[in-house]
Amino acid sequence: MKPFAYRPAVSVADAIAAGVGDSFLAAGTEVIPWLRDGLLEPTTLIDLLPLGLDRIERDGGGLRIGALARLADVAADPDVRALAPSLASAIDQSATPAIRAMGTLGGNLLQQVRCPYFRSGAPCNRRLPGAGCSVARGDQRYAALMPLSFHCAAVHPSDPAVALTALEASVVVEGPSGRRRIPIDQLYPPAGSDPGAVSTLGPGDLILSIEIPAGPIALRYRKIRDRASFDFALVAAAGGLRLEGGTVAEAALALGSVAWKPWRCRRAETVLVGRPWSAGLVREAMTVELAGATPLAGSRYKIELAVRAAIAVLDPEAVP
Amino acid sequence: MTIGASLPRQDAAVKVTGAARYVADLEAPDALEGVFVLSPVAAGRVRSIVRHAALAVPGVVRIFGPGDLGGLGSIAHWAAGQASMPMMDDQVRHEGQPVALVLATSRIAAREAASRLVVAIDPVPHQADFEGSLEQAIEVKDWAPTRSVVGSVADGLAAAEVVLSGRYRTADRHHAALEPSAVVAHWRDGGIDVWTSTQWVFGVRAALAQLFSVAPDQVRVRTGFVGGGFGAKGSTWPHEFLAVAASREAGAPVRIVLTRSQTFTMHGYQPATIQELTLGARRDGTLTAIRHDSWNAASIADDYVEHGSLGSRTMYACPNIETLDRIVRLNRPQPTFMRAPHEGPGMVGLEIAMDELAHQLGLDPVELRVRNYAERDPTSGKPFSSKALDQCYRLGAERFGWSERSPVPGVRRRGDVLLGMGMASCLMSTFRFGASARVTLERDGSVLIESGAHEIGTGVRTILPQIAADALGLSIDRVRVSLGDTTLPEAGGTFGSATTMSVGSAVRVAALKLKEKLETLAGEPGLEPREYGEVLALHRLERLSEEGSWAPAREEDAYAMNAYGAVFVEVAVAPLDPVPRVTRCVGAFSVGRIINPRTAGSQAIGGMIWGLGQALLEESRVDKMLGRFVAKGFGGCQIPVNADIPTVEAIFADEFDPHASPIGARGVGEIGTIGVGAAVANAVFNATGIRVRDLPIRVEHLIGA
Repeated sequence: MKPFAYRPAVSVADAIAAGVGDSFLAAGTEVIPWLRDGLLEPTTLIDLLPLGLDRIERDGGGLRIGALARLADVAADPDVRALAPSLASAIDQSATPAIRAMGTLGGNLLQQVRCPYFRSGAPCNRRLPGAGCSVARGDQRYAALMPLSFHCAAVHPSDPAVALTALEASVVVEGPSGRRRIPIDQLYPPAGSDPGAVSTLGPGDLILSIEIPAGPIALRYRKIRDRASFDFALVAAAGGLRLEGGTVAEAALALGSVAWKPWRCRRAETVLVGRPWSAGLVREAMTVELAGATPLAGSRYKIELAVRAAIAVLDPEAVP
Repeated sequence: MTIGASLPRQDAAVKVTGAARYVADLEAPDALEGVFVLSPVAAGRVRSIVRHAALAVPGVVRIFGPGDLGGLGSIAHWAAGQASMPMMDDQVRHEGQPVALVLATSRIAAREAASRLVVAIDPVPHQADFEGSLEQAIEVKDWAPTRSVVGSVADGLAAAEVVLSGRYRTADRHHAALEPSAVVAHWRDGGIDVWTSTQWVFGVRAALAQLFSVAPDQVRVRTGFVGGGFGAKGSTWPHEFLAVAASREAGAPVRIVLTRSQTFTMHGYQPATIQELTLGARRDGTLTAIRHDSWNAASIADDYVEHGSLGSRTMYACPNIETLDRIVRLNRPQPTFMRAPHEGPGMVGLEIAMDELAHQLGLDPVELRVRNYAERDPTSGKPFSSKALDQCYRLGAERFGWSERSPVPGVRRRGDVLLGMGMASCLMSTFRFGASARVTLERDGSVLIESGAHEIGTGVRTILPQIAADALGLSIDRVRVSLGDTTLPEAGGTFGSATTMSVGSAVRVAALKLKEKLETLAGEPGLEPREYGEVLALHRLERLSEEGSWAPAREEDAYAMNAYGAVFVEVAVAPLDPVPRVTRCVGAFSVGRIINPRTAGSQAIGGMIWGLGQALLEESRVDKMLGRFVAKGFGGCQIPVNADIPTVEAIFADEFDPHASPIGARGVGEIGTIGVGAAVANAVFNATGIRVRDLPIRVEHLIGA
């Protein structure tokens, strides 16, 4: 680890100006492991926590959540629990109480992948471009169904990001070129991108808040994992639907741990709408959704898990 | 009577307040800090090491590469975890092997320099595919026979009305002790002074004396509290030898604290096993044949045999039993003993196979085991020293509510969640070592126990005072303990579930001798404990010491000795999220006399939790192309968390083993881990009708993927 300086940010403008050349530090639950593992070698760490940016408030029928709001505070907030129970549930199933008490929602969206090769220093294009992807001929249990590219098969690890994707949230970003709103799906690099980037944000770009629009459907979150707690998902799903007389009138569905980003299931939603609900219909919709999946031999089992997770969150009979 | 009292741990307060000292906590201001550089390739030769960037780091004192650490003698395998010594030549035998060692005045400087060292290695093809290399399996000489034959399995199978066979697999698993191994070594005038986190100070002393050609009495080895060992700290490993060698070269004490990832390749792990079992039986369940073949993955240059078939040699009354344990040499780190070795993986195969047999015969799994109850060791023909397994089957089944089990899989439900019950027998060979201890009475009436044993979290600091207090008729708060130092009376390693029997018996002998001497001094038998101090005062003695030792008696070879148990579990499998979750676990154990129900219960419950990890989570996955463990940390190598652990209950049969030890005890430290894996697999079958023969059981097994 190289020596580096630390300095608290005094204003958003100050942070952005400094962030162009240096690295941001929020709660540190991710950045400090990066430092230890040699994934980040900053000259200065700009501490964002003095900026506040942690308000959680109603915004019209929706919600605005400050990027530096702690995960535990977001999940415990009565407005979040009422308007976005899937987000509260996704956070409740993330990490550990200690990490949730520290970690911020904005930081959570910008995690690096948990691929064991990436984390342990084995050959990895994400760590060292051109080094090759060890997953391709190695352990594929945690790999994607829809990989970023031939060069990286790792999955995005965030639970909240999956719920936010199904909720059609946006992030409000301020950077050197001003302020903009980015739909959460576009926060993540497009398929085929260089594996190294965590997001589409540029130097100095700072997430100010996460905005969740008013939605007519209450969504649920289901996480399938080896351990009953403190584990990343094998597959997760956030979703829900609105029935009119037994027929699906509206549906929203996103999957986690199947791609380099939370995977919005637009094709499945299209299949569902206008048809009478049944578990078989969800299976059919998921078959369409995942028709283009290119799993590796060791990650193929995730297809069936994804179908089951989707049925679980889309079952109108299930207890929320 | 303090024996049998449910006393709390005497060291609980210092542990929970952080006052307990571990080796890495030692103040060693003169020590240089050492950091290893490990090989990223599985086989090859170190061609060159470019040092200038590392040497430029302020505080760096020395950098050692292959051949730089001076010569070492050779070492017997038993004294060390491995005989092949890294860095003595340019060979790389496995990924994660040390190839260089940096010494600096601070750990930060040493780490930084290690990261700047450029080690060029010429790789050669490696072999890391265990199951794909079974044809190259070999039989090697080991502490236990690798094969056993009684009767003829061919005849037994010919007489059988039902025959079943299967292949079973257990995974590579790491000890994952919370305290990473640490050593402070000082070479001084031909003598060696070492602090190290170990389960066997006298083993380290013997190994160092051999390797460095010094007399054992010139080597002092000490340990502080040991933050978990589970077998990884039971032998002496290269980081300990190399720390001494580095101190010899540098002329200063050297401290090395392994990183978490280094603990995955530098002091052993439980190797994966593959087991093939064939059972023959009559329709009434009587076994006519057991064949058990077991293979384990081993390292390329040293042999470690995981005796997977050991339990099958003695578990059930069967006239025809043939077993064979073999290893496959691979480019991987050296495996070692891990709680619980041998039967820990081995009983997984036997006890799943027995469940399959019970199902095929339409017999209750407990009833099948009772019908094949061994009253004598079926392989050696010896009587057992003591065995209360029949009590365990009965007590465990009652406590658990086994009678509510449905013999038909997939029938019991809670809502739409499938519930299944499974059980297994537990068996572990009894290990006993010679041990000695000194018990000293001070004039103030307090007592000090001294022995070169170790507190690795098992409760030794509570058990030994109980035994001494019992023999002397004192209250336990008058008794102190000093452990973990080779200047104390010699004891064996704290492993093999042997410490209570061995060291406990030595403490009892010493305490009784002390009492006798006091009575002689007083000139009267039946001395009251409150008079002890007066007797010393009368004879103008500040203190009075007696040493006692105990070793297994030759006549006891006439007995077969095992710890036993029966474990019962319930699992829940949800239809949409069929990751199996254990909802209840009851173990009943036959381990001789219980010295302290609280610490024994904690060992048994901890053991069962360890077994739940084996059943459902623990697996150090191997990348065959790279020849390495994929994950080397808790991020990718999972052990259970609290949410995975349901109510776990341990109960003990009422028993006194007159042959295993004078205090009536056998071993309790590891038996709890055994059988759980099979019981969970059997419960999963009862819940779902899906038979899983590989541990850990994964969601993939249960979704037809």
